[in-house]
Amino acid sequence: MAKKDVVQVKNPRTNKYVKIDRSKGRIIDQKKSDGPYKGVPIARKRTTKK
Amino acid sequence: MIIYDVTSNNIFEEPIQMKPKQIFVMTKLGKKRAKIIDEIMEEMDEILNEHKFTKLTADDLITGNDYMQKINKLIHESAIGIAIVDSSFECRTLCNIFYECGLMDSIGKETIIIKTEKTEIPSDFVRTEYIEYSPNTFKNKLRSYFKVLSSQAEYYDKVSDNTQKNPIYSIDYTKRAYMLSNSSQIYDKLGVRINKIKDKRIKEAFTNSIIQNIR
Repeated sequence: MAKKDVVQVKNPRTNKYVKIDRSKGRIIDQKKSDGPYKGVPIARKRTTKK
Repeated sequence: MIIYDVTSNNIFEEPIQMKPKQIFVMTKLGKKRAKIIDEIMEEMDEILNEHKFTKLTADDLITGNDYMQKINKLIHESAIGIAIVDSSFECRTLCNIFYECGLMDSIGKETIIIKTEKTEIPSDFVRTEYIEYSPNTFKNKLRSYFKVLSSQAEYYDKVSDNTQKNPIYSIDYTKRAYMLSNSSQIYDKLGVRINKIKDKRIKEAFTNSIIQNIR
């Protein structure tokens, strides 16, 4: 089975991480406790190519 | 996003141009208000200038249309809503302010309440962020809020980048990032993402509501 394309981003309003399924383009979960999800890469800011 | 005409409940057809970094200030208008509101507005101006935000109240916009239509337009075109409340306000003024604040919350706009000491907030708004006005601390508290807003724009930008498989979702997050940042880079992303939509009518709706000329 193919590995899910999932990343996480911290929402500054709640200070909690949200998990995004990139293959579906959806937020799939929000962490209830502090800190990031284990084993899920943190999305970095992208810069557009000129 | 479909916008409704608050007076008829029909779909509002007229394009609403988004105004990045525009703040809709909801408070008591006119000369009869408590002096403390003018003090708050004055101190607020300084911080807004630092962060390059502009503010508007319902009295600043003359449309000749129905008053509620004007409020609806301001709510949709603005990036943020700031409600300023004081215990001296009449009940109907407070009701109007919180009604408008709720409208903004419900369409994903950032809102904050600035309240004077001893002014109570309705229980539905207990989770809405608020700043209690005090001459010594107000400016710093507001500065901190604007710092968080800039992180919020970055958050929306990151979510938009990672949800591109779902264009409506991604465009909405890109739009919110743009509204808070007025970044030309994010504006360009919006153009690229809208241009990817194949359905002509959906594309047109996004173009009308977000940007007038896609570069």
